[in-house]
Amino acid sequence: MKLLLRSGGGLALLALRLGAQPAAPAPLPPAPPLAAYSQFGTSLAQSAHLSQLGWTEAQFDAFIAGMRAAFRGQPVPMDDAGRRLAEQTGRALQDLASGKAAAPAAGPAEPDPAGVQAYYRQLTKRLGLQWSLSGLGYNVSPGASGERPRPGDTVVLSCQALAADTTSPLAPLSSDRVRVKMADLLPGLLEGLQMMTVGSHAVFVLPAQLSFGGGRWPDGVTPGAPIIFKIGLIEVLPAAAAP
Amino acid sequence: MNSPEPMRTDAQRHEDRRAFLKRALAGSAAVAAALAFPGLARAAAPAAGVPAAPVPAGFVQPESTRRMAARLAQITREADPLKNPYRNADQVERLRTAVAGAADPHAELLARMKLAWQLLDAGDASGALKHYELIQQALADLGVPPAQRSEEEWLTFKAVAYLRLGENENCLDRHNPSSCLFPIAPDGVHRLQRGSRGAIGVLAELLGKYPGDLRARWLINIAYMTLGEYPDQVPPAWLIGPQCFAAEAALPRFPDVAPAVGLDLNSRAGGVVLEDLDGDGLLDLMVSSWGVDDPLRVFKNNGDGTFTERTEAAGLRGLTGGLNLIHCDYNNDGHIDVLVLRGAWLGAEGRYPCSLLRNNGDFTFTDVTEEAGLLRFKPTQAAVWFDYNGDGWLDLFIANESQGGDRNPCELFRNNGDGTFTECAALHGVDLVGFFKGVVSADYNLDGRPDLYLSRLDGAKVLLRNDGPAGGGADPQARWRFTDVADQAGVTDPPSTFGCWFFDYDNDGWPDLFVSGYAVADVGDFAAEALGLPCAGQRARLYRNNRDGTFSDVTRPMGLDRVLLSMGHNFGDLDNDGWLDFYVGTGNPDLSVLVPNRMFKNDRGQRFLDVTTAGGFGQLQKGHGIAFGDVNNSGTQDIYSVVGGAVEADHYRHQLFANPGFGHHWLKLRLEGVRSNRAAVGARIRVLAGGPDGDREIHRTVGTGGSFGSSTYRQEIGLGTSTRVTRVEIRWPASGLTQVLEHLDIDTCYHVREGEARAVAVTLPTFRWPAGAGA
Repeated sequence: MKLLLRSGGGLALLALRLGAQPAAPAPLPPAPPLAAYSQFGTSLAQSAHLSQLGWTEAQFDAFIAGMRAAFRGQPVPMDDAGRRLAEQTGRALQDLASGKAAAPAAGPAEPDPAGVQAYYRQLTKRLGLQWSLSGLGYNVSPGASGERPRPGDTVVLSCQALAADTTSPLAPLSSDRVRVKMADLLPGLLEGLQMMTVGSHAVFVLPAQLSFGGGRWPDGVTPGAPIIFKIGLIEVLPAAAAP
Repeated sequence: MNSPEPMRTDAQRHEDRRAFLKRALAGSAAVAAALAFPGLARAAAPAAGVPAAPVPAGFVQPESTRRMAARLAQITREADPLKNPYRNADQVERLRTAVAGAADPHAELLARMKLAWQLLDAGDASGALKHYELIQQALADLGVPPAQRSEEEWLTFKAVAYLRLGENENCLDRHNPSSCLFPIAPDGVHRLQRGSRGAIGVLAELLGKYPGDLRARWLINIAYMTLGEYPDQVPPAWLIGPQCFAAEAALPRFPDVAPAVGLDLNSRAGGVVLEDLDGDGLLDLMVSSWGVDDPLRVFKNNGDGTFTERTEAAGLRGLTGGLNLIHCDYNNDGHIDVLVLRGAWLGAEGRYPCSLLRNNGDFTFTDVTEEAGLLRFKPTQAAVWFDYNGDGWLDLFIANESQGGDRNPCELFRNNGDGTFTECAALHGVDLVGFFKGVVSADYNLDGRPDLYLSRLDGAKVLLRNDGPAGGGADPQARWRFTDVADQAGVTDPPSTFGCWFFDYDNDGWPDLFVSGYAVADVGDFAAEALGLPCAGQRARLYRNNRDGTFSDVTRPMGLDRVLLSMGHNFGDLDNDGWLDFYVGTGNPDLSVLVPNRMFKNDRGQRFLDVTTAGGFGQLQKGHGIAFGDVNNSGTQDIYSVVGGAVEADHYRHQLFANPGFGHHWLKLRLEGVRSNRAAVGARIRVLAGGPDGDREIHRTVGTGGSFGSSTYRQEIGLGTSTRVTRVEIRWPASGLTQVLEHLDIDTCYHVREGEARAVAVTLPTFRWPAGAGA
């Protein structure tokens, strides 16, 4: 479950498999056929609206090369140009997800504050969100007990991650049941989990600064875009009690 | 994608509380059926020790009132108590029989679990504790694995039962003004300590096992307070320090004089009217309690620090229930009438009528609901009087509660000017459906037409802009246009809200808007907020009017980004500085939710400061109807607060906070409409005042205040350091006339009639609070 963690690195699926500490481990299923990987790749690209970014074939080939490098454990270092592109693309994808903006041009895009605001207004209304001082969007429904996780605790939770369009699943960030230390969570989830009691469910919207920020974004997750998490808090293992 | 459920009704919250019972014996087919919710009626809370006026010789209760009383009794009699989660006592007997006759230990355990809860909610904390022990023994005997016993919830149940035991034996049975007043002063410390001692033991066990349980952490701090051992004896790991509750501004204490004047009525949740009901210049009191058998009560202010109960003499016998009261002068006869709102929270079981009580001018009332055309049977606690069509007669909008498949559209009753009303919500497109908990009116865009704002527990708010008659012209009976502009005005948030009000907090002449959030995970949200931890409790919103049809969310810069969980509320001017302050009653039906009511002082329109603990306003029991008004005509506003909650155990004594005075000057205006409605509802007042600190403007609008609590129409305006009133402008709602008054004296009450050149000074009777009242 590293993709919930503060530093994202590594291919999403691999990280999920290797990093997760499931409370009830299950045997791994047989590997799907290669066609399934192609289908998954298509799904990711569609959910990220990659076809609407206006990239050239050369730009897209370079993007794939970067993903391949990361997959092989030799990620391409990020420089200023890369960070700018990530930020611009993230904003463009937010606008696309909100349905308010046309596809951005291939060149450097100016931020569209009005579009971003409209997106968040729409999101707030649709998900019934409140916003914390840090910028975390949240909507927590009541739980079954009064116990809440503290920063030093370990928690068992269910987690379904969605792209900014609120519908496209981000499978690498999702799990039906995962055990994780609070201190290792993304900043937004660390804050949000403390709002929950055992048995409660929540939706959290993590803007970029509360997820992967300026760090490395997992493959399949649009850099700079907000991530929506549907969380169920199953159990709290107090710091002293957790093995 | 579906979001988490944005709201839970109170009935659902009760079900939530009991859900763990089902888990404790998961898999048993009998469980779900056995845990269907019970309840039954209970006698009204005991009466206070105020003298009651004899019923005048020859007085006969009007037939229409007797008919309403009989109707209310019949509805209650024929209702299925199992479907009303707030009728507890009768169910206890039923469950005792079920326990005694259980076919097997399993069935007995299920019945006993229900019985324990019902005993606690019915007020028998000792009985609840006894059955708790029997339940734990039975769980062990039946071999229920510890992991399935919902230990945390049962321990919390036990702790709450102990706490309630302490509250009953001390705060109620040995009540004084410091009882349950947060943080507990020495006078409020429990003399009988077995309740709080027991609670501390259980809460310590809970926190040892579940250190992240902020609900237990909050409650253990409260428990230590009740013993006078806070903060020193609270284990450091669990302490929520006094600094967390420090007032944000100095304020002298407002003593609770209710016990001294006999107004510490003991009731459950209810409404309040603080108004001059007999035209003698003194504010009288009417209060309700929402229990289906609880009486509506009225008290005359004798002008000497005493009050006389006139419930019987006023002809109110048999009029029961009612969560909220709102007054008006619907027939423009100069006497204050009252609307009683019933059925709230009860869903399909809330099919009670409202009551319109016509004031006969001699301190008697006649229930004219039926003849006025207002007899309807829908659950509500929210309504507002406003003259939407500008014909000079107050119309009535009732915001009803719909949930699930139970649809109860809102209603708009047009005043026909002859004592009757015509329902026309559908005609005007305002037959809205939702779980509405508040409705208020103001002319937010100053176009001369009063608009409506509706707060709902289940979604986006509604701002109905009054756009006038659909076809133009001036026919008050024409189809009217109301347009929901909440989205474009920016006032749809937050999702789950309760009370609301328009007020001009920044004195710029444009109505601003406040709406309270109403959702918490549990009382631990208050611990989280005090400790600076994240919490998801629904926060209030303050919207500043941008004067262009839109509002800005100024909640955070104004210091109100807080979890209040407020129900009743109202606003007024605590210190006569000319800036409107507000007080909120807090809580929910859960007996574990022991949180203080909160008072906020307006710091010159720049920020609201929490002065709860400084002024002594932090009542821990549940807060409902609240009204501001100068009860002893000292020139400063006092505050009456209805205290008491939903379940039958949750009754408490009301409070009357006496204003200690601040030395500021004041002006009182009693407006009388002529072309406009006689009570002058909606009239806008602009006061120009001057003094050593320069000139200033103060703005007020005539109304009863917030959506839950009914303050006097009389405008009691603090002038701060101003020493003269240079000019008063009154904009009348129906005529559009702007009336200008000059050369008014400070510290004086004036009667102002629409269109007349002169204001008439009125001498109001004054009195001091009784010696020993603490004022």
